[in-house]
Amino acid sequence: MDLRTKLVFALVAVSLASMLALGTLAFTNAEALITTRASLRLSSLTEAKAERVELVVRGWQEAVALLASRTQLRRSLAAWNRTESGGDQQQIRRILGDALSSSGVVEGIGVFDLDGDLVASAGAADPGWATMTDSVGPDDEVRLLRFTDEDPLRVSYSAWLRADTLPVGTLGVLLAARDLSDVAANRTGLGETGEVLIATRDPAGRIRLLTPRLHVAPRPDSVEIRDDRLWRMLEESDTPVTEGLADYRGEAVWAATRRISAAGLAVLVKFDDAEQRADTNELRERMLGVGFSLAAFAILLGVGLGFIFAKPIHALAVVAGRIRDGDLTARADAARADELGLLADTFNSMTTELERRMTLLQEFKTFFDESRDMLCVAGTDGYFKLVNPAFEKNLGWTEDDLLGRPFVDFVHPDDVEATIAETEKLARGIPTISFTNRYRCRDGTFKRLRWSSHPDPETGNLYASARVLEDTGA
Amino acid sequence: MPTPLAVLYLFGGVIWLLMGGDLLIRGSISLSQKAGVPPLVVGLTVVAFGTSAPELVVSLRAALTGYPDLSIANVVGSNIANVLLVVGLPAIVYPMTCNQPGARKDAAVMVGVSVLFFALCTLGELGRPAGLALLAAFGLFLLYALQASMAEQSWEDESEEWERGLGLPRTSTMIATFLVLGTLALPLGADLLVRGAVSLADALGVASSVVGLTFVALGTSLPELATTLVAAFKREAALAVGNVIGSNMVNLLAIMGITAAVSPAPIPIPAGFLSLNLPLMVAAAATLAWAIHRRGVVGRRMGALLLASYLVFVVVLL
Repeated sequence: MDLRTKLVFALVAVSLASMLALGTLAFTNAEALITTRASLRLSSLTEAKAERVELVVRGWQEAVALLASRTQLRRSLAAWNRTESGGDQQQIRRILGDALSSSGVVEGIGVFDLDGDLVASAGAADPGWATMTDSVGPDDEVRLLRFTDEDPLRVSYSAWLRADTLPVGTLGVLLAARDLSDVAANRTGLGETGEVLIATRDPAGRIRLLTPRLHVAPRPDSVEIRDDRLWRMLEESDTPVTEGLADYRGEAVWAATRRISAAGLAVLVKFDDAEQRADTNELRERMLGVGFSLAAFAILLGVGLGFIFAKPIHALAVVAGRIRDGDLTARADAARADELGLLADTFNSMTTELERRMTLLQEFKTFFDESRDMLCVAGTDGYFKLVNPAFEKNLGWTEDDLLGRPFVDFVHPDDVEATIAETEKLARGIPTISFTNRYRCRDGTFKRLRWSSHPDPETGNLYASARVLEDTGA
Repeated sequence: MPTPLAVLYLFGGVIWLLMGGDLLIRGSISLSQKAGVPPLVVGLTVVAFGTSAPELVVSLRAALTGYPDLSIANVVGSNIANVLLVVGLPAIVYPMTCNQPGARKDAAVMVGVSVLFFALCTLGELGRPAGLALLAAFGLFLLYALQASMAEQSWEDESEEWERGLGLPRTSTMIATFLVLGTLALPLGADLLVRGAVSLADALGVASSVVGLTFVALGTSLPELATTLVAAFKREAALAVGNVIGSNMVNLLAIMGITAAVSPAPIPIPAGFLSLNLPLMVAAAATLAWAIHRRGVVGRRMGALLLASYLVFVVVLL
């Protein structure tokens, strides 16, 4: 792989790793902050909604209590209890009619005697009122009986009617519960997916939603919320913000609940997990995007540095190539002050030295080639390693002939023994000053040669020169 | 997204795309060499596709994420920038000769392809049939190019070959690394580029096609511009015009063809394309072809004219 790619890989890896580390740290902190903020928002919204519901319930109770405290009504009922006269009943009916017409929320009123028999009523009626003497205990002045099943939603109340602290009968009141729906429908602070559900328990003990669900047909009903945990939260006491729930759509949600025990109501506020996490998700997306975008600088830097480093190295390689091809005058540009400059400088002095030695070598080669004496290098293995052209001139053998066979093959049979002895002496490191033997020429004749040779103890090579003494003829 | 961030995304996207394309090309060349594919075929297929890979992934990404106008704008803008900027600017530095064999014919084919593309666009949108038609035309173009280059000698520069050889991964592991990293970097770059472009268009209050025609097209044409400029300074720009012609054909036929063929919805022709951008693209191609046909060279005066037209075009758009 080239330098540029290596640098790019290394720089991108380092920059991405460091940004990932920094990003993870920053993101974890930011995520915690954002999650806490979202959790607080949900928590305070739930609190606010519960307070609103409490206010509504208190308003209903006060409206019922106000009706039950009408002196005229209580006196008329006490009188009716004594006399059961049509006049008193008439009077009660008139008071009820006035109350109904003067209130915006009261949709029906009924007055019952202590036996639970209806005395008079106005507007809509709730069958539950008939049994209210049982359901309203002596301690409850006003009691919420139930939420009706019809649409729009109504709430049924009963209350004691007293004359001089003694009970004279009960009052049944049917109120429009739209204030409750309004609390749920007020979407302030709920964002895109936030939802308020208000639930109660029906006579069979099942949880029943009183307000419409945001994401389905706008009718309150008691369709089960899919997640059991979410359902249980409505039944339990107040629950803090809980994540990882699934609502009736199967959507992951965060939810919190508060109970309004006075009315047997539970308020549930929930947000889609996706919306709660939208901020953190966007933050993560953006951090990744910025991280990768910034890593592009590492790529550019790597390419740039690679170019800067590779350029003089390439130039050096070109110069080295020219020297390899025999141009010893080639020199690298050593103007740089850095390590590459030092390399080029060293390279240049190496080339200068090489050039000097090559010149010297050339001179020795000329000397070797042009010498009329036979000059050679032989190994202790008994073979020539190098012979000069004088050998061919004097003996007729080519260089290949001479190098291809042990040199004793060329020695006269009578001189072989002495030659081997002389070679052994040389192998022991004793130079030959003057040794004479006969060498066979290519044409079959022999020539007497006088040798002087010098062993190199390091390599074991023998450096020898020979001169022809006379033609032996034999 | 704030404007500086959008610009950073654009920048990062371009760089990642270029790196991804480069890695993919080098990995593919090594792989083809190992598989014994002839260099000529490698040059025409792997390298040609590799150099166009950034444009392709950007166009695909844009079309698949619901910005089809960005993909056609990228291609048309890239073709306009290729002729007006990539040929125009270096020609001012040093007149660009384009007298290689076949240059005149190639230029004429480019004009023909541009006109064909313009005609398809007048239908109002580019659906799957139009995409397949463009791809079929691309197949013909490949055959023609293969025949033409069989007849010619290789134009490869020796030192370039040497440097490329150094940059090629040798071991199978490195080849796989190059291919995988290239394949990862391309969609990453495309994603950054498309997001940056869309955000920048929002921030500037212009259509995303305008950003596609200018910034995105310019970004994906930058490497060609850099190579051509360097070549012009070294007075060796003979191959540059040929590369521009090839790139324009691949853009229109292969990239638009593939994008239109796989896009889930037909690619609409954005407003103003039929009256300004497409005619300009055809006119630029025709001007270049005329210059090649007439004199075999793009001179300084012609370069200045091309560059000035590009600047006017960008100013008019923004």
